[in-house]
Amino acid sequence: MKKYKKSFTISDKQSFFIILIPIIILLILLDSRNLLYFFRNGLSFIYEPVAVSGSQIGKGIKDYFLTFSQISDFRDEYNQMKIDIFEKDINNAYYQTILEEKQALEKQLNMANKEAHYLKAKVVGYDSDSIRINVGSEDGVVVGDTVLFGNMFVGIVHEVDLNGSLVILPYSKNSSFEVFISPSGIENGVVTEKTEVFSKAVVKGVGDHIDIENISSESLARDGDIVVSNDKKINQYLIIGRIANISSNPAETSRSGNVIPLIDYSDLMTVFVDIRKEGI
Amino acid sequence: MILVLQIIGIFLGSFILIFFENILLSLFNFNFFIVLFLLFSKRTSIKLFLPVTILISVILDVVLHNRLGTTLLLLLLPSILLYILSFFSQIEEGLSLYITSFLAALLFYISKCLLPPFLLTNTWGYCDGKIFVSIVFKALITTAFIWLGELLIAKFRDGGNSNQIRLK
Repeated sequence: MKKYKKSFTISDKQSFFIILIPIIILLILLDSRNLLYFFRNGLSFIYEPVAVSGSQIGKGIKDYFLTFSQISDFRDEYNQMKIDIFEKDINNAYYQTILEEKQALEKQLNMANKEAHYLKAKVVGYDSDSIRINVGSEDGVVVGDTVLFGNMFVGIVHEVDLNGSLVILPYSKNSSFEVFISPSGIENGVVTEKTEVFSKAVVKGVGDHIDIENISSESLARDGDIVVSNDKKINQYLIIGRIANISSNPAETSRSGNVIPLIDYSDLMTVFVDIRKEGI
Repeated sequence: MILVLQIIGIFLGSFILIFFENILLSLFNFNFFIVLFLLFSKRTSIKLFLPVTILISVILDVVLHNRLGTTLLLLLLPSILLYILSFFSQIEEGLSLYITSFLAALLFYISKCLLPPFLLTNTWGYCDGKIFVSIVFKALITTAFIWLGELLIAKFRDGGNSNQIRLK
């Protein structure tokens, strides 16, 4: 019964409104005139940190649940982005291939024998002493054709299938041809007519490197000189590489050394096959 | 001594209430204060209830950057509604308690949507169908909390009586 007395009666409610309404009007009026700023500042100083902490915690929980509820969207977005990245990678790789092909063609146009007929080929496989290319008998390739890159010798076609060929690199033990050594007459990689021949020699593949033999002991050949093909099998003046480790024993009747190719065969992507042989 | 303890209790309670009110406002834009107001308005003495309500309302206005008196006004409107409805039916128990609580909460959230911008900028707040649906949902949650609160209070009251020795 005592408790019941404490609860609201109608008169309590009326007094509640009678007190509350003037307070509300007063607060709104005074605050709109900015007359309670000191009161606001005091309360803000005390309660704002608690309120901000509560808001931050609430926001953190909300963000967590939002992330959790949107996880399927994120997964879809992630998968879509993966697809987009793959597509971009594919496009990029395609453009890189086109760029490489363009550069190879430019090099071939600028440096190669203009009268020869070249067949563009892609390198589809590489071994230590051979490469595989994607042109074959259907494209007019025959065994013995010379494969080159610009004015650089790459190899000789050894086997031909309908749509592919095996090219023997100078590293191969099957590779052996005559060359001459020239210190000059090579301008920007192009063999000019003013070629001065130091000596003739023979280049042989050993497997992991290329040997050069039968260099005249009288010749002025030295390390760094250019080795140029001079063989019927190749039928063009093509640069093989530079001499290195040339022997200098005066007792020898001939000198020997190594040849270091000017191009890295493993990096080749586009090469050219000389399908119309011309005499040197 | 009791008065001092009461003041300390109100001071500490206001911190806890402001903290949870802000968490719930950030999470669901839900006001827990209206639940407490509706629960305790018919159970507490006006001498305690009125100052506490004014204090908490003003603190909420300050931390929510509303015009001072806004929360009090938002609480006044449902109180007037309950007062008017009390002439037509018994609103303190049974199903009518929850219906009237739902209507009071609905009025609170609608006025909360419209009034604070008006008091600050003289422009009525924006309320479309989607917001109204969320308001109805929040009013339903408020009613559910009131139902839970009534259950808890009844349980405590019964528990208190069970320990008492009855003399007839």
